[in-house]
Amino acid sequence: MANLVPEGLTADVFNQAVAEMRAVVGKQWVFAEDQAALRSYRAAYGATPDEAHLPSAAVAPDGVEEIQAILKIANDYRVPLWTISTGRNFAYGGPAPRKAGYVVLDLKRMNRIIEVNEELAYALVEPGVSYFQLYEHLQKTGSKLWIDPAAPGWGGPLGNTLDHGGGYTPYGAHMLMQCGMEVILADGTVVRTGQGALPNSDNWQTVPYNFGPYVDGLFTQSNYGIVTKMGFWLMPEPPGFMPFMVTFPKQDQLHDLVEILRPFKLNLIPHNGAIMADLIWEASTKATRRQYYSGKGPIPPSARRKIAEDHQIGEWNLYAAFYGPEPLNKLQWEPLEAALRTLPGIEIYYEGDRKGDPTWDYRRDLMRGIPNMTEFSLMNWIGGGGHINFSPICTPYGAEAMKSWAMIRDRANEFGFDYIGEFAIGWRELIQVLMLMFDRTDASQRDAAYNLFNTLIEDFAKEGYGEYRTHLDFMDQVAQTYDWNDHALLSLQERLKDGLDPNGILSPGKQGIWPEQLREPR
Amino acid sequence: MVRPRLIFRAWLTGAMLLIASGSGAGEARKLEGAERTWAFYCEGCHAAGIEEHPGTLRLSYTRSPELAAIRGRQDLTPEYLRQIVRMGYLEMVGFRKTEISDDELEALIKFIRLPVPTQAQGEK
Repeated sequence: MANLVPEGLTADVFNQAVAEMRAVVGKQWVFAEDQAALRSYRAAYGATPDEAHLPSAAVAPDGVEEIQAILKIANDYRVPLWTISTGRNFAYGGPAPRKAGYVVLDLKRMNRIIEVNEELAYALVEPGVSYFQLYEHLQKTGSKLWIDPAAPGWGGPLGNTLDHGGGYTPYGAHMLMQCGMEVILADGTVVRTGQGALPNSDNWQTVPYNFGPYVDGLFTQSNYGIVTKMGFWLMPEPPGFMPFMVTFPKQDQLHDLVEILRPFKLNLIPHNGAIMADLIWEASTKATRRQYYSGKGPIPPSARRKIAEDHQIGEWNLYAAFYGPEPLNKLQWEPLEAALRTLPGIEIYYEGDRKGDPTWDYRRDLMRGIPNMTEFSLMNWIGGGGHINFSPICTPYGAEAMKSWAMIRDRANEFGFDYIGEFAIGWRELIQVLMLMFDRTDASQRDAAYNLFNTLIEDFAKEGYGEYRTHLDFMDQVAQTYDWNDHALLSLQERLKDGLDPNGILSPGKQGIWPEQLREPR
Repeated sequence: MVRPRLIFRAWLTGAMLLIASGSGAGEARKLEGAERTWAFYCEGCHAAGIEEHPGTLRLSYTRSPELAAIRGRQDLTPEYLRQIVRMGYLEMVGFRKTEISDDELEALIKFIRLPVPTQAQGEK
């Protein structure tokens, strides 16, 4: 039967578990011997070899009862289950498990859009629903509600929210828009959170809180349960939509840009999370590195100037939008525009000004809730597929932005990589994302990327910056940086883990949270 | 807006294919399903229109602008497509059977290899 076996299990025991899972979901929905099928669960873009994260099997249930039956088998035989929703979270590991040999619990078949409420503007969906699918559904039904997709449209709202992901419309803070969950605990108990705990309530998707502690957050970035339904709010189509782009010719203008944006953002202007993309992120949808520079190491300033000139882009490129009645949009834009125009050399672009520019088109579409895949062109910059995201949080001060940007840029350059990144500014947070691109076919580049990533985690922790999310390969390292008061937070997370999942079957090691039997002494 | 046209053109083209091929209802349903698979998993990267589609852009670099869009390319053998869709290759990830089943994959391969209706050729 299967070649790979979960750690701690004999082949006989594992084969028995697999046979029992087949009896639950049907043999066509358990993949164990089919190596091609299992390979489709690999972490396709990571800095470690595929083998580091290949599953021993995958099981794809359809429904709560089937999941409960699988949980019973996993508890009986101590099979580690790694749960995925759409499994398209590739810069952070995709559908692959934390450790080789786990069994992936693939919820993609559970892809029902259970409810869309037009009047109250919310949706309730299963884990396998993708942004493309939800968008298609709303279009077909003539809905006037918008979705808030992540940059790649093949991901989905449930998985993205559970990983603390974000989007580009005013509803881009997905955790804030989430409302009500159905969760299956390791022992098979089904829990509904919020007002869903009250039988016959109509408010499951309108009020996020229940009586007593609010628990939804416990099931995000965690391994305490399997979320089978999630509610979230959808944005009503506004009467007007005014996207804009501003280019900044100098790298150090990031400082002034953030200083200008902060007080506006505290007052929710512009209305969505503004993105500040660097020159290469911006250029990579329409050019390759080789077209401008064939040497090793970071691209020299002369080539950067040529890229900026050829594509009419800046060292930083701000994208944001206003949503509402057009006169109001204009009124709210005026003071921000005036403040931005104090910076020398900037250019401002509106709808229609950048015809034929694929970057403008995909950014505008994301801010308008239209899912697409164009951002994947980042991989065309050097080719070879490798990319992982380093995503630290900092405070929205100009000096902080400059400092954390320079920290990444200098380390990236030291390890032989270009800085390819963006900042997203929210209400009070500034999140930087380094798109660490490398040729995955080149072992030396893979190793350099891996080492750079670990170095950055250390560098940033020393300065008090934490990552908001991370790739499979770095979950332990990042978890260890949140170590105030002798790791009190991680200790609490572990106590919850031991209480809720005593056999340690659910996603062991997710976000650095290991069950007692697999925990290493700190 | 570009995207809605891309995704929802699907139903129209499906009907055109049925007329063109003169095939039975079962085959038409499969092709319609394949068009949806294409819209959900392939089109975002591989539709015609080099600049907006990362896969098409990539193939324009590594092959040629003429071979950049994969729909209608007869030189892509079913075996090759089967392999690439499941296993992925460099920048492209593989697709799981829970996303594209074996039956859906066979229909998708037929769909990709069909000559492209003229209306779709100018898509961008």
